[in-house]
Amino acid sequence: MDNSFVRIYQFIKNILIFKPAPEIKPFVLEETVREKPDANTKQPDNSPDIVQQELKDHYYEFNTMLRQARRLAALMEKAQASLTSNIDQKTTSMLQSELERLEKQQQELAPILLSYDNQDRETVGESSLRSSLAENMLIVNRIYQLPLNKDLVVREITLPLTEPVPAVLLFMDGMVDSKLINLSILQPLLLMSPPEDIKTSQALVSHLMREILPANQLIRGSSFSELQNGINSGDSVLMIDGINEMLIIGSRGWEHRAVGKPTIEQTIRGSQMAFSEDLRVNTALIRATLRASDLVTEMIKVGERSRVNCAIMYIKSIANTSLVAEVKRRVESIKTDLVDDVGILEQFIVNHPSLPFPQTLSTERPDRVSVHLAEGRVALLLEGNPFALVVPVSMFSLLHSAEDFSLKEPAGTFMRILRVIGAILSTMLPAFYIAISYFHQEALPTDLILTVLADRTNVPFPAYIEVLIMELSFELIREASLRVPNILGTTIGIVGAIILGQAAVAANIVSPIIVVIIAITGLASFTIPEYRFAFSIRLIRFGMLILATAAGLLGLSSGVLLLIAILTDMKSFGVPYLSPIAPKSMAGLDVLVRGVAYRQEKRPDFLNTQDSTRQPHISRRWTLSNAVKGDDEP
Amino acid sequence: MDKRLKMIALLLLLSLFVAGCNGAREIDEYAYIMTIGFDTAPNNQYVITYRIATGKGQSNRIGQSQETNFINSFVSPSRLEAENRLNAVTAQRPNLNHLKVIVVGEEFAKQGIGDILSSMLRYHAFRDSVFIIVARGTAKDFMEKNKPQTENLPSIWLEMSMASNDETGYFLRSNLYSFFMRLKTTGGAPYASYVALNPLDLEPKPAGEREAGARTAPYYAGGPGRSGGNPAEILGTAVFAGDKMVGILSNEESRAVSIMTGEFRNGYITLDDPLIPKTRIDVNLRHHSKPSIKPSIVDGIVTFDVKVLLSADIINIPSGINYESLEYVDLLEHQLTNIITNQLEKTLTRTQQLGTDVVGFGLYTRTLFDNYDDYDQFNWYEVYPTAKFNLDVIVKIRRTGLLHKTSPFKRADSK
Amino acid sequence: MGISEGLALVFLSTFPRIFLTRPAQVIEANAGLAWFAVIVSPFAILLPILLLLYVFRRVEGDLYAVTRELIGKWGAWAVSLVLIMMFLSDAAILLRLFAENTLLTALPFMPLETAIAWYVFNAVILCYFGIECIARTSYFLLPLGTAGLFLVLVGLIPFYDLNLLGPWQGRGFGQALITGVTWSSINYGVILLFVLGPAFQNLRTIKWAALFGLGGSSLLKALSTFAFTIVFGAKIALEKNLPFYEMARTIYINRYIQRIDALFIVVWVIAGVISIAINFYMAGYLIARMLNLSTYRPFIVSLSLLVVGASLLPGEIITVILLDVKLFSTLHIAGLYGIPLLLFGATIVKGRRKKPWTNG
Repeated sequence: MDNSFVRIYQFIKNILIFKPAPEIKPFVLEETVREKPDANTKQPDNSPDIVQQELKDHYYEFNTMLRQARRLAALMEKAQASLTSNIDQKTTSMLQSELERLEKQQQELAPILLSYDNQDRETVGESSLRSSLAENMLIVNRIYQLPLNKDLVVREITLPLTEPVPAVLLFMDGMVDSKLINLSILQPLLLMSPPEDIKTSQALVSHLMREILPANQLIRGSSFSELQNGINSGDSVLMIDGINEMLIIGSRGWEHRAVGKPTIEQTIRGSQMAFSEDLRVNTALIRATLRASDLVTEMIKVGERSRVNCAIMYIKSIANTSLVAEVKRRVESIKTDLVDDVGILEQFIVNHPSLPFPQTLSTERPDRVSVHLAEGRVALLLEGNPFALVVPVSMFSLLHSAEDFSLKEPAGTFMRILRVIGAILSTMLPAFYIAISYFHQEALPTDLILTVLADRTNVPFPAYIEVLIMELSFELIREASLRVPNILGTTIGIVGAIILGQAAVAANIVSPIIVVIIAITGLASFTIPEYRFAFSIRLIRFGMLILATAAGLLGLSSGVLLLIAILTDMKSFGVPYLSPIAPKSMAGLDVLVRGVAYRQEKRPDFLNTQDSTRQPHISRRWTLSNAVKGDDEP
Repeated sequence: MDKRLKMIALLLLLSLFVAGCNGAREIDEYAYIMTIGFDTAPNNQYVITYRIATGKGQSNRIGQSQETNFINSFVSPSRLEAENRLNAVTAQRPNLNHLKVIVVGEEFAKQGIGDILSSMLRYHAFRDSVFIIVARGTAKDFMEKNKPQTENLPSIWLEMSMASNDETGYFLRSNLYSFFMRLKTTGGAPYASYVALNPLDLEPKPAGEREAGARTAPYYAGGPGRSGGNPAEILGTAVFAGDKMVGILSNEESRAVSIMTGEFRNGYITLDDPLIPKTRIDVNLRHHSKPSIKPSIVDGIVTFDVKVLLSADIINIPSGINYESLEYVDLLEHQLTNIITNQLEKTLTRTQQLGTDVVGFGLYTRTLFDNYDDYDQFNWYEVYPTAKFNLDVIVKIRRTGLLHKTSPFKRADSK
Repeated sequence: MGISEGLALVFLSTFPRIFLTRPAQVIEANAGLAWFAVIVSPFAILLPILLLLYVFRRVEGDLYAVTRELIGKWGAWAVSLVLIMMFLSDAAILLRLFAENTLLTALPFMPLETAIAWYVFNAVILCYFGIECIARTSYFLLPLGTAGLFLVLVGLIPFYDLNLLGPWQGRGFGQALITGVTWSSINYGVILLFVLGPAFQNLRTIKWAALFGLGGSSLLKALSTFAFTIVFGAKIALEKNLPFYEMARTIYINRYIQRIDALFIVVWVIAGVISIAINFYMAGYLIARMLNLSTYRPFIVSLSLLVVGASLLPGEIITVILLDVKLFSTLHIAGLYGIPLLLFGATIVKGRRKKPWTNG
């Protein structure tokens, strides 16, 4: 070990003495073959990459035929050996079945020659299973990059039939419930008694499905795309030599978060369950809340490389059929690599993806989803995401929270009105103040003007710069508090908001009234229950501010007008965004004012449901008849 | 295409600011004028006094000495020229949006304020809510010596005082709205509150004799004897014929006018005890219902039937006589009715002499006509001095405060 | 589009003059009966509405198609040109007056061109969105606008003096009727319901939209003219350039609620922009129908430039105010009453009975 002086000396020496650069080239991410630009110019046919590709194809074809030939040769040798020695009934039948298998494989060689399994995934996916287990395993090896990929487990077994047949069980390590595999799949398979009179492969498969395997989800499959879907979703696949079908056995059991409390949409009353990341848990939660028989869950796989399940839930007798068809059409027509987040799914299917206003309702509470489903909307759930999307939605639904449903009418109405006031304040308060203080000073009371005058004499910035500074700091605080670990969370709140504001005033950077205005604006924006809506309001606030600085209340009114025009022009899955006010439809008692529960008689008119009555006119039947006498009266 | 749209949008956004800020001015770029005072000066000029608020000392405790406003006076031939000159003195631009009060010196009012009036109608900074008052002496003097003790700004003192005029009725409040209404629609004579500086020497200077049966003499502003505090006080009303001031109503006459217009809310009145005139009785008067004024034409003379119904609460009976009882209450009511009727009559006679219809009977004459053009021909101001008034004043004692009987108390020499 | 959208369109197309000098002019002509003159006009307009409904029950289509059916192509072109002139001249006058009023009340230091450009830009953007969007926006903002108006009327209660209304017969009912009918042409916006024709669901929608829209707007206008009369009286009221603004200025409730006229700028700016946008749209729509084009959108910018040029023609504001009255007493009266009479006459003459396109 050198001591510090030697090291300093060497350091200075390294700087001063020239040393040529080492020969090692650093890593640079180069473009691949296919990304090279100029799609216009045709590649010459004899470029080395294309030639190599063609050579690979020929190599595989050749190899397959070679293997087939070798198997034939092996079989022939076996036959010869057994024919020359003792002819055993058992051996004969074994040889016979092997011969049949080889014949089947021979038949499949022709299609192999025509449409070969090159590296293209799509063609592999379409093709069906071969009869030869070895061939299938080769293809599986290529699809799953075995033996490189250590996630896929290949368990080879021999089925104890009258003639033992090799079989392979494939599953993904970590995604399956291993106890279930051991007890419900491997145990019955390995311990089954050989079935009598099973001649055909179809019969064998049926026998296994119906009589041997006690798995509760079991389907047959015959193409590699089904195999991939199954294994990637956590099922196990059983492939048997000589049969070109496989059994896909349900065995999911990966770790997921338990059902917890809602983190964003907390309520005082109302259920405290929230969705978790597992799709089946989520659909189960919705079903547990909404126990309707015709609650339909359709599964659509989304994405090309990673096919995740997207569940579309609706109540068949209520939801508008063309709405459901439209939702399904949009989701099915998504062609992309990976849709891992419900927000990405949303951007793919809504009408106006570039406008920040949310055109779907995103919630993590199953009770909210059930209420909306019962009104005739459609819910979308994506695997791996604890949020559900509910479509179609109007802007007023975004200002409702789950609390409104569980509290009584005056409380619900009061809170809704408060939220509307909060939304309006959050959009317009800074712009309003700037407009008045720059152009219409007479609207402020004289005492206020003189106080502001006294405070502003020491502040060097114009008022709109002060507003921008405080807005910026507020946004920084908001963003920072998302990243700070929980221990320091409250500290940032206090330090950032209060002390910073106070210190800014004391340092004469901003005047106190601006701090108050920005604080009220920020607080008002937190009353909006939908996070994305609040975000879009934050963006609009800046636009209003610019307009107000330019032309005072004239600018502000133009801003309001254009905002309303944009909102009226938006549609969410065919429903105009500002229904039921513009265009006018029967609103019911649920838009701004929350009516009592026994007066919510009609479903929202703009959803055009199949059945629009929810309750009869008198839904509290106890008010119509007299009270009954109890047991303790004579 | 997309790029072009973006360029156009950007250019349009920038063009918002191309013409400059469209007159955006910071709050501290303005000098807020709270009060304007007008006086005459020789050579057909005016002395115009501005009180400008500085904004400092708003967070003061009351009574601390940080200056909250300052006064500048200018000699100039017109108001607008004075504003130009004000701009030369203050760093900020003058701003009339927060103007509260216009003070007109007595000389100037007698000369006629028509010069400054029409700009007040047209210029958008003069709002209808600005109060107008007439000051004895010069407006400049009044403004300089007006130092209220509980407000930071004298204009606030004036504004709040105006709102409290219905407490006594001793002065009539007038803002530009009512001034112009009366000026242009021949419905009545314009008036303004009358203010003055009290010499603060505890010597009363009454404006006339006191009523028979009443205890108090009428005063103009500056008359009552008092000492200590702010010398400025508001008592009485200056009445105008057209744009010239022709007379001053004392505080009792102003109260009479406000009783007849219905603006009077409540007020104390002190009168002699009917049975023992050396002692006094205090009552609190208020309207029982709004007075009704009905015009009619009797023998070619415009006649008005004025019905006033007042109710009184007894406040103080030093003599100990049980005026609450039904035998004696009539005496009190009778005395009160006499006093009020006399005051109303004297006021009406005085206003007829001055030719100014302060109460506003002219508006009621509209019901005598069918057609607007006929009404237009009729000049109320000529007819007013010949009008007749039938007054019907009823004062009823309704409440007696916390005592419902008065028991006499013995003294050493009582009978 | 349904009743509410038609109602909102008619309302906003007939309402904005309450924010300009018109009430003062009505009071000058009628003194105490000004409100009566205002309320007479929807009754007068009932005639053209009924005539047009009769015509539309017989012939199918929007106004252009109906005219073409009845009078032929050149007649249809003439009628359309008259209507286009009506809408565009209204747009030009409104544009100039609103811009001038913005300069007078809200932003004294803004250049006139900037104010005009601002209004035009807003109107053009709104027009690009389409008539449905304009109708729905107006319907959405209608309650807020009327609430603002009511706030002003309620805040002025301390200033009301019914004596100022008298002599209550003003200059006579005859004069009021004449004024009412002559100046009913400012409500010519009702005809836009017929121009748009099949965009509404059926004739019943058009009828109720016209009645409610026109009735509501006239009622509010009469109410606020009445309030204006009893706050200021005839002599002072006829001097005022901007009655609504003056009313808002007079509000004084206590030390803090005074001088709030700036807050009502939002109400009349929005009303002005929407009414200019409606006029642009109608003119563009008629041009597209006349020339048999598939869309009106490319015309909006050019029309707006035309209108801006026209609105800047008069040199001073008094000319514009006088022109307002003159134009509406001539061209718009002819259009409003003449076109329905013409079509009605043509229907009677032709005696055609086509299958109605609506269950009317």
